[in-house]
Amino acid sequence: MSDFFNRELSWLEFNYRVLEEALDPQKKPLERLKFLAIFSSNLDEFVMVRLSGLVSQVKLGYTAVDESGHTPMGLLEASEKRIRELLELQYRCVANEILPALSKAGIHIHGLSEKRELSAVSMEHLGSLFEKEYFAVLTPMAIDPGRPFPFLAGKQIHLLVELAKAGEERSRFAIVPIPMERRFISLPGRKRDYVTAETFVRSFVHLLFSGYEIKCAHAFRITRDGELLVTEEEAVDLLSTIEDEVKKRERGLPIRLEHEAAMNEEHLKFLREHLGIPQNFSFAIPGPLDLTGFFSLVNDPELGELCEPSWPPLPSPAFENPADSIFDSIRERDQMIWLPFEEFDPVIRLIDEASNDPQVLAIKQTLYRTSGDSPIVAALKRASHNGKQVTVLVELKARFDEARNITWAKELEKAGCYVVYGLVGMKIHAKMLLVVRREKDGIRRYVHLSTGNFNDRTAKSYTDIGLFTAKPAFGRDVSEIFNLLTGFSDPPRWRKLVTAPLDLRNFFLAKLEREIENVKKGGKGQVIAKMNAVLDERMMRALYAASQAGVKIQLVVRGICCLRPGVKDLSETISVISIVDRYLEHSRIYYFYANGEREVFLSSADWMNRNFDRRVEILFPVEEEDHRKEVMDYLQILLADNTHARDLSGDGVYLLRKTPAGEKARNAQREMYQYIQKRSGTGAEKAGIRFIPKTKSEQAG
Amino acid sequence: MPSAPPIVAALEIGSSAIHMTLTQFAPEGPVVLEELGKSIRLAKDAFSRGALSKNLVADLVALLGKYRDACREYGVAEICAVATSSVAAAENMDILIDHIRLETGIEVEPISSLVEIETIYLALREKLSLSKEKKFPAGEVRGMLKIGAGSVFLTLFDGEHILASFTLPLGVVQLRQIFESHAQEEIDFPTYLKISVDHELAMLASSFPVKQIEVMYAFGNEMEALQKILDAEFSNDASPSSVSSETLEAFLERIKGMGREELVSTFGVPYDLTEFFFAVTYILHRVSLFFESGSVEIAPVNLRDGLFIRHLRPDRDEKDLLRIERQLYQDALNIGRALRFEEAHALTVTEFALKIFDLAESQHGLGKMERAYLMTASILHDVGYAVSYAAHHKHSFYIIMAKEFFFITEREKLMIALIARYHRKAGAKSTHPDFQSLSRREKMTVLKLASILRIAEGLDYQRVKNIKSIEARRTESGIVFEVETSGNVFGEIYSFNEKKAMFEDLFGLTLSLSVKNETRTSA
Repeated sequence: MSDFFNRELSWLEFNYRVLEEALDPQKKPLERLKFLAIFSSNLDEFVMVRLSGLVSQVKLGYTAVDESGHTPMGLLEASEKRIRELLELQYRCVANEILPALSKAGIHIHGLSEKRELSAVSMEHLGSLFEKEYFAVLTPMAIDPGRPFPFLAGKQIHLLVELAKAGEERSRFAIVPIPMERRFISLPGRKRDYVTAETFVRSFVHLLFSGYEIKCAHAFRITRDGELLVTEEEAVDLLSTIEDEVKKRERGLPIRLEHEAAMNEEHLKFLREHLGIPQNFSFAIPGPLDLTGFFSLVNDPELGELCEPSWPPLPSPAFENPADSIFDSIRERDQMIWLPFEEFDPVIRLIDEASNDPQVLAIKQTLYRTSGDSPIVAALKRASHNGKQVTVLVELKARFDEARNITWAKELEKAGCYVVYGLVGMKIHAKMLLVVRREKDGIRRYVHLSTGNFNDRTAKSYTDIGLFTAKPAFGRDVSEIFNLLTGFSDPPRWRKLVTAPLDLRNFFLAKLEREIENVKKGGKGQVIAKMNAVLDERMMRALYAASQAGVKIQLVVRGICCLRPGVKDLSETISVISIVDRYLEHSRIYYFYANGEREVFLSSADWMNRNFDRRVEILFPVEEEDHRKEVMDYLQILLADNTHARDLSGDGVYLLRKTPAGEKARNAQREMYQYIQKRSGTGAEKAGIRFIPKTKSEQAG
Repeated sequence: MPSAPPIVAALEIGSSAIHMTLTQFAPEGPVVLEELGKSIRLAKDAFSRGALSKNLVADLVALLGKYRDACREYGVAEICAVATSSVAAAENMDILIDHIRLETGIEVEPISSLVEIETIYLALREKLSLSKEKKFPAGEVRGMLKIGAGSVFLTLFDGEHILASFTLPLGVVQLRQIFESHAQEEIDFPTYLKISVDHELAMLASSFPVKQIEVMYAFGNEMEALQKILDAEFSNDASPSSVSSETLEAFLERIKGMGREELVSTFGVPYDLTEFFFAVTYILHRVSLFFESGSVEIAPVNLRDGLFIRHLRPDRDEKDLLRIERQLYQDALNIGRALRFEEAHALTVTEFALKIFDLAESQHGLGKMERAYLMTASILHDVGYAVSYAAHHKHSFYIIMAKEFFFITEREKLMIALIARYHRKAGAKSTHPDFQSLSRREKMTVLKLASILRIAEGLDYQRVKNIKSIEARRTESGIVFEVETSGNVFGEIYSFNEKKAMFEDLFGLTLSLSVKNETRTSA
């Protein structure tokens, strides 16, 4: 048995945990639908990035066995098998539970939950819609021996239409891309009666082929290789190179074919041959293709009753009074915000206030992923307009956000900001904001560091922790990191921060080594770490060594974990849990007992080799005693979860914890919200919170 | 916007990197806001090609443009920018400096290695005076070592002043280039390095009596990287900035034979520093062994710290003048002794010269700095004997010009050399270009001081210090020097009368000598 789990298979298990949330019958239908859509979106990304990599390796003839004991071919087979199992679970859930529940709640989707034929009124309405809005934009692509097989966009639903000229025996094929802007089209009459885009187009597809008889039309979807191939060392202009590559991504090799179950073998063979997709990567979907389209239903504000009760973000007590200058609050003492339990507003306020403050000289910020109409980008542009020196490090290579980031980069540059498009061969993943302000007693630097992106949208659904500080040592470190990243300076010696790719891995290794030493001296050794993924081999071997020395290690890992916990003589003192719940667990927290010193650090980095070697990451200490207590309380709350935590066993199985009979149900995210509410005092009332109803599963405990 | 304490930038264009420190001078004390540093191998071009390449100049100017932007970001009041000697060695340095000024607005001052050393020394002295832990016991000698691209600079000092300074031809870039241009198969670079260092240390041993020094302070770009690595690899050293000779030796063993990539991957040495990393560490180790210092203190201060001190105290105050006087005295003695001068005569003449200077203060109107020039010139006036008696005053001139004096400018050194030059024979002429290069005021200073030196020299004509004391009395037409003597002072009286003309011409006064204890008085 290998000492490590495989990365791809571990990832698929993470997605299973996401699916598990959707399978929970105690949840409200739209909450379940959201997890089904997330599952599909995750799977798309897996196919585009991971599976495509395995396909390439197999094509190139790699047969080497990895640390987990798998060959690329073996992994492809294992992945395919697991994907099929998960899809079966997903679509069984859709057909048997979600669609009926939606119907019951008055949401009818013709062709799915609604089996009846479309009424004449509906058909008339749709026919008119087709004529007015679709006919002109639909572009059927005929396939015949005289033309090459047309290019099909990835992740778009298409119809494969078999047709024959009136009076002719011979069939022909055509492909019709379905516009994806509106996944569900409203029907007249009842509110929330829908038809899917593919059903709608199929109903009128004959109008596109005048003089032909439609024999059949089936929907299918392909997924292409989504990795960018940027030879950065040779890129003269990173911006235009990535722009070109983003365009090329749309033309990556097809990897997966999803099709309606009713499609016959002849049609399938036709598609597979032309697309070059092997049989084992075509998936018959027993339901609607592309469940990511269901996000549009989930986000319908009028369907609140079908969602879990919301937990409105609380105002942070330190920044509660909008009339107070945010600089005063930060100067007074370090401040911490807990996302999404608290509002993201202080981050926006800091940039906003800085942009208008005549005392502010400069603003520097990293942007990895941010929202479409980001208030941060707007404030930075304003700051530049107001004469501040604004430096923005836009990471163009943030996967699948490249195109969006290019747009902001250009906007910021146009506004006069100094924009740096990342580093060659490295992604800037650190989340840092620096405001330089001239005050009466001299220059003061205000710093915001976070475990998560400066993104007002994801701040509502990702758990992250942000630190605001005006301590000079932090200011100087952050200034110097910016100098390093903007090419002003070589790496200096940091005072408070630890950075990757320079010394972050060594920092962790040294901390583990010290815990081992303390145990050897008869003391206690303990590590609690929370992150998104564990797959760096050196770190895992160091963790095994620490475990073998008797250090107690508790890991909270939301996603991939290649470390095998609880194995005799290897990792007996290591436990791993994963929490998948309404919020995406995203914060990275590292706690070391340190002979009673109880060191607490926050970071942008996971324990992945890419974080240590190919990304710019930061780790920073939590210095204020009350903040340290909050973070340690949070870790204890996470570890005590018995509703959404899964224990990873030594054989790779994640077992969802059940609330033991007679014990209190403990939902970490709910508890943390309540914890923050309590800490905030009157803040909860101001946010309009009166009570939070328990879910059935919690009541059951 | 409130008025905030001023921020000053100190910018150093060094042999292998550009560094800039931004410091805010608040009433409570200076606060370093930022330190920027970027490797850029200027010395390599300067030594191998004699000039900086176009690409390198473009890179440097672009980087300095960024540094100027960083200064603007903080509203920096002034940028003190210098280029160190190894960069200044490039033929196109003047063009480069002009280019920098035009492109970035930064005025760069090229400085000599001497100025560099004394500036670092200023910073070190300030640090040591502020440090409670590092008391500086009387008589203790410490050293400063800067391993540069073209040379290694070694400076020894005690609690009062710089005792001596040596420039060893062990600059790492030059050593490497010499080795590569004369590469032989049977010898590798470490062996060549050992031979070179052995040779220079043997020479050093014969030229300076101090062998053991208490603390050796090391400076240079590689030092900070070295310290970082040694901290991580040998964390048992008591102080993070102190590295023991044993640690250095153990580390050298580990890096011996390592390639550049290996240094990066094993120890995280910045790639730009890898080329000379072994050589720097080796020289550091050998020098620390040579002086039996036991350990080396790495980079406790840097050139920029000294630039800030200079910026804060642009004018010499009383303390500075006293310190400079002591330093000049030490430097002059070192030079004289190295050339086996007649020390007793030199010191007697100096004593008389300073006495006359003080007695005639109201006549010459010169200050303490000029007094120090006179002292230095007096000590060294006959140092030209080392070449020959004939025209020895001329030899003294160029010997002084060839030597290094701390804390004075080149112009001040020229004045000292000219004072010594004119202590005998003909006075200054319009055909003397060095003298003519001085301003009118400087010329007068030289002439006044030379005239005093002439008289003082005459009063020790027989070199046996027959004159025991000198007093002065002002008369209606001039000054009467009353001297107490022992023995026959015929020669002194003769010489006084021969040499007083210059003084009399300059000051419009008649000089006479009144000899006590001997029966005659000369006028």
